[in-house]
Amino acid sequence: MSSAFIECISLSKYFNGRNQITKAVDEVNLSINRNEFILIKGRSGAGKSTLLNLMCGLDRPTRGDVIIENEYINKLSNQIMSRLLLKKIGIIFQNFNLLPTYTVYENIEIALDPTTTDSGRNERIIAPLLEQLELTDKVNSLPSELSMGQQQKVAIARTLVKQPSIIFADEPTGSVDEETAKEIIQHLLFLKNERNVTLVVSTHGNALDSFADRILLMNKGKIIN
Amino acid sequence: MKYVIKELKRHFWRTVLSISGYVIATAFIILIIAVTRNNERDTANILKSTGTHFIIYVPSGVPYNNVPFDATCCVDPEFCTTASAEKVSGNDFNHGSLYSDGVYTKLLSRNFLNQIKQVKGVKDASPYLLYRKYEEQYKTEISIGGMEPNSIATQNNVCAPNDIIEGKYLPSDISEIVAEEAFARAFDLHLGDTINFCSKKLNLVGIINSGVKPGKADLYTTFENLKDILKDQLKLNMSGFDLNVILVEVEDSRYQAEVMEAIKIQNQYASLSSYNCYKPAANVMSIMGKASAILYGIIFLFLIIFAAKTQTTALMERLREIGILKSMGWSNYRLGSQVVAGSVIHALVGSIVGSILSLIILYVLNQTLETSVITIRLTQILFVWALSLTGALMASLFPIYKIFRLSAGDIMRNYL
Repeated sequence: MSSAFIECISLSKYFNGRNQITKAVDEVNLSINRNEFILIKGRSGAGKSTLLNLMCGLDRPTRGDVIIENEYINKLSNQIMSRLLLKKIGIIFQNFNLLPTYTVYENIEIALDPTTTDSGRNERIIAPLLEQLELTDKVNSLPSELSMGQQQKVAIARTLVKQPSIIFADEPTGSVDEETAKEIIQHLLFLKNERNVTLVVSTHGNALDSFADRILLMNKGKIIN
Repeated sequence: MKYVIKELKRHFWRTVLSISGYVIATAFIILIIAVTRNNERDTANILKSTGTHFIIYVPSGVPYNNVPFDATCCVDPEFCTTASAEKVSGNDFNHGSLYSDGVYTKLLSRNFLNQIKQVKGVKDASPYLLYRKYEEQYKTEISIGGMEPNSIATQNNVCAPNDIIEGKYLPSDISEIVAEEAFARAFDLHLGDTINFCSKKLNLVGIINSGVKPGKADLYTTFENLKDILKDQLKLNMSGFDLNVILVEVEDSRYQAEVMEAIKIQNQYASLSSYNCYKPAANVMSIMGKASAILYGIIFLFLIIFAAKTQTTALMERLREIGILKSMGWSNYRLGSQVVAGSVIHALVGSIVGSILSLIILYVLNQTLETSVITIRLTQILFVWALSLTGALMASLFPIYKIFRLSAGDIMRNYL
């Protein structure tokens, strides 16, 4: 068994087009250690988001394996994969993916274990997060009433609320201004340094370069360095 | 459930539209059931008693026991030959003979009558004596039937009180007789006239038109009276062989063929005579039953298609959200149960409101229509509810299939 926390072996994802096969991710081999901050960089269409989706189990690979803590997640049943996403993996999207008709509080609450019916417990977990992310006064607001930065903070809160050990973030600063981007970077670093979270972040900008432990460049579905 | 309710509220008008579909379908099905069932019941009451009668006799020529036709009544065999006058050939109608359907018949026993009564599906069986004799006064053969007048089998096979045209239905004693209208007119007979028959003078007390019936005769009297009238002509076996025709009434025209078959199996020598009206009646009832079943099926199908369409539209609108929830760790089962719960709530609320609506419409209909009262039973309403819920579950199948089939990645890529 490998000592890597996350490992990709010959990981490939192909999409069948009308006349051709698109190799979104092609034979990627990758090892990530626990508590490492990995930055995956590349131009649009390089395959960063698809790679992230494969690594966090949102997509099944065409070929190859993804191993997290010695578990082949591409071979897990949907049910077990859902448990893994619920307990261990957090995902932050570039476009936040908040539910537009749910309040800030409800958007965060949906990430909690649905088997817990104790709303008091939920409140005890969510309240400090809202305070930390300066969203306390927005608790009953809808996403449309928030700024881009605040929406991304809600998305981060939704990820943090389940205290994951890995966070996959797809362009987390891509849709926010510079000031908010800095704030988001600080939160991510806090998670890595204080909570030993492993961070896998994709971006096409340079804002996060100086904070990453390793930077991987991606082009045409392959890791090129 | 919190998120299910929230989702229903979130898409308020879609929820209202979907529930309206169930309301209309439920109300429609309940009304259809109420109206068709009542119609079926009313029609069935007429049809199931249409042609549900026939007569049984045993022709004298059959080789049962090889008893000669003109022998006097025997004691032992169950089916006895015609007991015609002693030393007179039974072939000679001038001297009278038991007959039915134009053939000479044997006497039948009371045991056989009791056996017929026990056959499943037989509502009533009644003894009948049918005798024909040439009368010099009228220069023709005259037939006379002796019946048990209160029997439903008699009334449907021979004549009934509502067939009376003049006078009374039943003679009071042996000196009185009732005549068929055609016979009375042919011989210009009127109430109070005297008819000579078998050397007896019989007073005409009733004229009747029994229509087309298998046990029809020219003259009618009671069974016991006829036995008395014919005591000099026939040597009826008093130990049980005292009838030559059995009149039968069946419970339902749909079972008549089975009853007749059972009797034929019981006695291969028996001849059964029916006007076969039961066949079209049974066919009509069968057609009505099938038509109702097809109608319910079509409505149910449309209900499912409508519900499935609504559920699928809702799912397509929610795909983005489903992708997000999947990425949060919501399992397919949890998402599927949300769809089912939403669908069931639609169906349940729609069924309740639809039932209330249909009851109101039925009430108004019953107030408006004076001829018929349309009713609906609680079990029928519950049946429609079950139908709606089944429809809701079936309508959820495609959305659930879609949820299970699409990965969060597919949704993110294609729908976000």
